[in-house]
Amino acid sequence: MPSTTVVLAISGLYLVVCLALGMWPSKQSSESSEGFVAGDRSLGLVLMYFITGATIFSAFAFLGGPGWAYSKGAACFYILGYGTLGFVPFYFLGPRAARVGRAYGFVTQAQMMSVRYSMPAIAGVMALVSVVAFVPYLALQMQGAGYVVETMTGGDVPAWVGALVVYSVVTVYVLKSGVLGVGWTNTFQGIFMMVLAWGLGLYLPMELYGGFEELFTRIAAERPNHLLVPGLTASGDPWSWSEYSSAVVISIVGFSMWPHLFMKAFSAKSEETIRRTVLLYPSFQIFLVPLFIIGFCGVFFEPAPARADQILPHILMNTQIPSVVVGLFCAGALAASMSSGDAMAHAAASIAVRDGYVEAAGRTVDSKREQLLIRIVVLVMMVAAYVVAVLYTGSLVFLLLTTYGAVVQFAPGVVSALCLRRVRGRAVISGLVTGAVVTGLFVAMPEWRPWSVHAGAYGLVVNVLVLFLVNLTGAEDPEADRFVTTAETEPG
Amino acid sequence: MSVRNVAYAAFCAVCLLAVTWPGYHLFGNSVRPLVFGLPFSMIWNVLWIALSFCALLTYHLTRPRR
Repeated sequence: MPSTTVVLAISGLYLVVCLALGMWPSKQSSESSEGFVAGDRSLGLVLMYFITGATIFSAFAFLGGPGWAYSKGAACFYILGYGTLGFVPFYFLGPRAARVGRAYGFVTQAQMMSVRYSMPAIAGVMALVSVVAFVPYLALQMQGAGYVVETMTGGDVPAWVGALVVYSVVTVYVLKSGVLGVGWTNTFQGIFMMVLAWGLGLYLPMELYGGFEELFTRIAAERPNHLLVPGLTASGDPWSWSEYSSAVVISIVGFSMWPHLFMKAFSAKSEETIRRTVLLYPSFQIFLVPLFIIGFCGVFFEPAPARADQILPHILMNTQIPSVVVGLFCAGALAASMSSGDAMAHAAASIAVRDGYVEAAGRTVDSKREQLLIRIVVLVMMVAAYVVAVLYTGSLVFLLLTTYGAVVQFAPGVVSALCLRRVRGRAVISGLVTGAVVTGLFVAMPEWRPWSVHAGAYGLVVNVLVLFLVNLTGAEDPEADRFVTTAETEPG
Repeated sequence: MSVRNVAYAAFCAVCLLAVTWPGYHLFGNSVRPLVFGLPFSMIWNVLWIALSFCALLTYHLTRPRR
């Protein structure tokens, strides 16, 4: 068994470094909400790269990825599949959003929609969906962090204490430094996670089986279907090609729509930075490969863990590995959790205040007061997510999937906002609401679907149809025209 | 639409078909040959991530400058 003292010492040291890195940049950004939310539009390539990459790779990926490969086999490859084109829409939409962001002073996605469609209600709906989506997502990150601390200390530190300590650190640096605090810590956390994932992914197969070839030859011989797509669903039934393929397509469409990712278009220093971030993104996607390999290592591991997503810590706790490595893993898993949690809390609070309180309700608030409000909401979000993480016993993943289905429905409206002049607000909001309802219905009642296709695909088709039908009577609007022209015009 | 846009759109379509049905099913879905000891079904996706990177890089570098 690894020594609790060593594990705690390494994790503690890691938290101190995060805190120091997160606090330091607060001197650099301005006191305005543009400074706190969008970092005064000054983020260069390194920060943008790590902020997007490390945000995407959450505790969910770090623990859930290996768990999925272990229990559902090749089904997990769909994440690699959508990674091929997942961020590509942002290559085209990001620079357009950045141009209107600069011209109109936007810091969030919903704010952009509200102005483009002259309809504050859109900002309200999007703010609501985003905040509702972020609470379970954030709670999942907290549970992941708490769980890792509990397992790696052999139960000496209970999960609720672990999550409390870790997320207190996150709260402090998000409150102090806003998006720049998130950026610097994510850079550190991103490098840390990548090194650790590759280190363990190469080391464990060697240690347990003698190498990759031995591991996969054995899986192929004893469980031939485990390495073949489409693999198994979450409930353990065979997954169909139609569901696998539609899941890939829906993920590609919806990925860039996550508000905490999309709003980074408003933080980037230049359009070139956005394009390069998208270009470099596959390096983060490849980081899933060692995590899947670790999961596959668990297939023949005795004793089996109680839950599939425990496989990685389970292997580490039951293998003769130096305490230092276990401590580093613990810190790496915390990095995965924190680097997503901080960006979510920051984004959710910015959206709730800017879009919900200011934009949708038509209030005017001065910049300093807005920044104060955002800080208060960060605190409220953290407490709410913590309460959900500790007390809620239902399936958070189910809650998350339902809300993700709704986030995907932002796509037609966002694309129209930046590219199509004649699309009107009422068409967008009708499509968005119908699409979200249809998706929610089919997520809750999968047996009602006419064909076995991803629930989000039904929602998206209905969304686009409704959007075009309602928009048939749309007239030209000079304001919308000017907006799209601004989005299209490259700075010369 | 310029040749460059058409070519990149065509690449995206091919890539999408390659990582879903039918491309994946027909060409990528087998354990062997093991590549660096890893199953081909996994390497297939990694290969397309690499190709997609190269395609977008080419698209990016050939951008008309103002």
